[in-house]
Amino acid sequence: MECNEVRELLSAYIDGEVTAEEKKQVERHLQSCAGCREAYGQYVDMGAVLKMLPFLEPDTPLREKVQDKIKYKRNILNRFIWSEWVAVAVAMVLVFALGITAISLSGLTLYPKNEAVEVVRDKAVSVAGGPSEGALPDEQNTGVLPAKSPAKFAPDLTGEEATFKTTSTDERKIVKTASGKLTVKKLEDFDRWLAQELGRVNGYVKFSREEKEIRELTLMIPADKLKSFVDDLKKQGELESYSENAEDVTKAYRDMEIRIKNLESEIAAVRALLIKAQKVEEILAVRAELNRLTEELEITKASFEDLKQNVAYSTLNLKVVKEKTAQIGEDSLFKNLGKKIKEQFVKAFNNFFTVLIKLFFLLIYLLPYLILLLLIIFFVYRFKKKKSGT
Amino acid sequence: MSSDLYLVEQAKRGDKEAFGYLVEKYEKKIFSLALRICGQREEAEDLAQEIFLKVYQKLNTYQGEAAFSTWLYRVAANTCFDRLRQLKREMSIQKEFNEREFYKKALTPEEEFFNRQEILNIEKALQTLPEDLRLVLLLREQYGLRYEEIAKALSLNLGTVKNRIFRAREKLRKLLMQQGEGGMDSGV
Ligand SMILES: [Zn+2]
Repeated sequence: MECNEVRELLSAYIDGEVTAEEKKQVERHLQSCAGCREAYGQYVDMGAVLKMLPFLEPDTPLREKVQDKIKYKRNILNRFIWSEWVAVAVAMVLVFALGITAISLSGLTLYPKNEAVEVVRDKAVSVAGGPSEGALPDEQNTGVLPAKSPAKFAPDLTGEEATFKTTSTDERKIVKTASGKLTVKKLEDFDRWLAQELGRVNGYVKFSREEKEIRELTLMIPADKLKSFVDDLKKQGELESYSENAEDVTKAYRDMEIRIKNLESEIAAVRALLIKAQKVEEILAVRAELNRLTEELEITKASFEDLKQNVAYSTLNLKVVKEKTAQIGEDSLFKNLGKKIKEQFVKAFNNFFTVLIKLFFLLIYLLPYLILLLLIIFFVYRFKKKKSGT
Repeated sequence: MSSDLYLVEQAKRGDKEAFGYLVEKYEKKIFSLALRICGQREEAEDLAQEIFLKVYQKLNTYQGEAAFSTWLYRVAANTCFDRLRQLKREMSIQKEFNEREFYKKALTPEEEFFNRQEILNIEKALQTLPEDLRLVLLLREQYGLRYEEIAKALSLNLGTVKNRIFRAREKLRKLLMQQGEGGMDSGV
């Protein structure tokens, strides 16, 4: 083998980039050739100095310059997802929305004494012919109601409700719950009557528990038929500890509507970003955002449907018991005692139920605050993580 | 997970600071390569910046198959190579080694292990070497890339890399020998 051929192999040999065969060749040649041995020594020495060449510092650190340019070069999408400024903007919008909510909430005492005035105004609007939305099914408003019913209405808080036939955008959204205990002579008669009556008002049984002499029922009655239903109910037996509770959920209702609208437009905006996204991780990031928004929309829609349902149908918790034949002596004492205990229990149950419903709406009112809180926590977490990211 | 990999993952997720740390960590190594290729500070800083920007753009293609430093040097090599091609088209003025451009600070004791003159001699000889040979030799000797990695980075085949490294060594050896014959000049 010639020296000049060997020299190239020699260079690769130093770098450990030769085959076993080549390695043998090189080593054999080095043994016999002083010139190549000298070159080998010089290559190795040169390499040692090259490896030790100092790394030099630029005049000004590159970090900032590079970061500035990266910020500039990043596309809109990355900025949209990650920029802290977006977080700040979102937080500001939320705070703003929160302020509005708080202000309008403060003007909405839970059940103002002058409610009747408002109701009258609402009626005027609906008479003026502003049907829309249709939170109450239309067919229930078309004269199935017995003509006598309106005349029989007691002029109490909820009496007016049933005279609404159409909903207007101004209409208050009321969730009504009622409860009572009915003592009847024959449960079979009651059952027959109930089936008929539910058919008449288009209501349904949401829950029922039947025992030998007791029926526990949760009835869903179209809000505008509750009054006439209860009036008819009174004819079936003795109605005791009847109470009605009305909750004004107009604010929550409107808020939910707005939130659904906002979410929908937000989703449309993110969809548009998805089309623009090119890099895989951009697409993934946008998808994740899209999924999150869609999920939120679905949840909100579901609770909205629940609320709509609660507005459209009043809940009537009814306990129906069979009348007992008169008893004497101690028995009747115990009977009365038991009755009193039962009454207290029903009262407590009613109170509990009322509180539960109030808590539910409180939660809905608080939702924007909770979201804001979560957002802040999220970004503080991110910020901290970044700080300790060394 | 090495701290590099961690930082890379963070940077991939859009963490600007994480990438900043990486720049800080490798700044001297990348700048040195750029400087030894360009021979001039201002140009080298520009090139080093370009390298880091390219690294950022390509970050998603790095999947941890090699050490991050190796991958980084490959991107650097590739960017230097592109720059050299551009320069060749524009102008080809051999820049003479200027000690001041390279060494603003005194050498550390570690660097003094080889005497100052020896280092300056080899820097001067390197600057006389054609840039493409200089690049492969530095990648091999100073940055420890294997032939295959150099070949990938510069889109050359293995034989060419092997041949260039050999030619670089042979030329450098001759240049150093010439310097030795011409006396130990200061290198300016
Ligand atoms: Zn030989």
